[in-house]
Amino acid sequence: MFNIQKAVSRLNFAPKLNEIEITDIKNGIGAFTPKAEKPVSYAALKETLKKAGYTLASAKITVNGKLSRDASGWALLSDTSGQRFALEGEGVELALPDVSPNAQVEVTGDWKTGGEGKEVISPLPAKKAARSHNENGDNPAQTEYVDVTSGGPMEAGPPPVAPIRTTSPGLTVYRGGAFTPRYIYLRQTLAGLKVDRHIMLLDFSYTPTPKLLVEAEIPVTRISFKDGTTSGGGEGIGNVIISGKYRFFRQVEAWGDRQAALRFGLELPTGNKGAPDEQQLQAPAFVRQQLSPISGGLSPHVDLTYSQAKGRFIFGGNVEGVLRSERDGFRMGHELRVNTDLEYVLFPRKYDRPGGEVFAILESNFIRRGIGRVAGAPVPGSSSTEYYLAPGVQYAMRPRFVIEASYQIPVARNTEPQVLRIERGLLVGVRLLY
Amino acid sequence: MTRAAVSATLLVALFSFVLGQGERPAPKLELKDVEGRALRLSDYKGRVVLLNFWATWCAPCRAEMPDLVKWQREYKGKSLQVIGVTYPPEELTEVCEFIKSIKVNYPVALGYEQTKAMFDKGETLPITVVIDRKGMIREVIQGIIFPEEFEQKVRPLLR
Repeated sequence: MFNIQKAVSRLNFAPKLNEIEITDIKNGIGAFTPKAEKPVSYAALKETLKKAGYTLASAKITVNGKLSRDASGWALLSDTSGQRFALEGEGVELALPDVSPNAQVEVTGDWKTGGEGKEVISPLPAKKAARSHNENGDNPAQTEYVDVTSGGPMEAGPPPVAPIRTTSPGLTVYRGGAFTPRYIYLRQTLAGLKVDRHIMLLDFSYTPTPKLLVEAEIPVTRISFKDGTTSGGGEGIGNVIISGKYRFFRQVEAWGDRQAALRFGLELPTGNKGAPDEQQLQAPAFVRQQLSPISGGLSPHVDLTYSQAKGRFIFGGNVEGVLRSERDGFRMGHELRVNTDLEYVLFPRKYDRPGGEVFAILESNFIRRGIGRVAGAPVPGSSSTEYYLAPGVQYAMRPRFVIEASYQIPVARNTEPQVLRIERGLLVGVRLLY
Repeated sequence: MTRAAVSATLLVALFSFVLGQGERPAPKLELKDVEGRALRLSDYKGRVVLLNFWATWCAPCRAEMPDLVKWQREYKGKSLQVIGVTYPPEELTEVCEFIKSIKVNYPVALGYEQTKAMFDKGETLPITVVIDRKGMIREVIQGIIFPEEFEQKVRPLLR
């Protein structure tokens, strides 16, 4: 904004810098009233903006003055500067109905500089000037008005691309690294069994190149259960996932970023496999195994993600596949996940620099899980199809500090008899970028 | 109080006022350039330094850099030293590609938000800090530095 004001204020017909108003930062629109006695030039305006790195897309001007007509057509003589503006374009006659030469009018129209420095207005419908204005001879304070549209990106802060959230299906690849501790609470049930799962997910990521992000996720889990007659619990580290995400597509537009990335991850068999035994919990082995911090052994993850911003909305979606292998004969079924993420930028209402952004979020998660195994054998009744919605909010307090929270609600759960059902989930996290 | 004493007092006050208009010693600054070498502001004492904060994503910054290249070339013999300092978020490869594309003939260091904050607390980019031969900050030019500003605020220091 400041650079546009500064560039325009260099012109001899421009007012002081602080009198040049930027009316729309996002679209680069500004307005100013030129000095009354100075002739104006569209070409000069365009040139000074070009010098500052901007492209003048179009300009509108309003001039109060006296009409004249000669062999070359209609013209307008400014009351204040005496400058002559040629009135051209198909709409001139239409725009100046019932007017005759010497009539006092106010003309607004598209402004250009024609050949030989001739200033040209293609008018919109004109207004006859108020009689009192003619009689007392005063000129209005704002005799001319220029509306400048700059096609170039603004200064001060990254270009006005839509702010991008950093959670799932997060694509943002920062230079440097990030540490994202997240707390996740899940309430699961199965018949009379109630399970509370508290997960502290420690996520470390680093960006060695602008398109590549490497990441390690370390879950630390505490589980407690009760089934009316007995209760118990356990805790431990879960399976660590290491992954690399490659952003293969990115198109940056003003509030219209589009990007896509492919992620490969490997879930390592690092987790605590301890689960309650039959004496601690009267339940089938597959159910008891689900009360450990792990879902199986070494498991590759593949994830394709796309996100698109449009205006204040951001949409993201990803498809993820997890191929599970057994650990000591146990694994949950292979997984297919389809996640979508719709965001709305609540604040700021006018985006001019990063930070202080508040997003309203609605995530959806579809999970199809195949048949699991225990003791090396398939377990009938262990597959599931689930669909959840998670409204949430994210606050990017500073470009490198983000706080987020969401609440997961089940919408549809077609879980077979041996699968724990999620009743609700809560996520609270922060992201620190360094 | 005699008239002479009053005049002297006024002169001292005036001198203090003039000195107070933005002149202060440049802070100690040590950064890494794009090739990982140390860049110390103190190494340029005795030269007129233009410390230009910029970013590849800032259109006005990119627009003014050809002028900085030109001034560095024209006034190198008069002890002008332009130093570019990037402002985050930046990607090193983009910085390198850009400075190569416009043949930047002065050192470019990788800066941080705090680096710029040492000279200017505002949000505007680019800014150019004018440091005289004695290491005093003479001016912080906010926004793009236009040729007339260079003539008015930098050229006199090069004599």
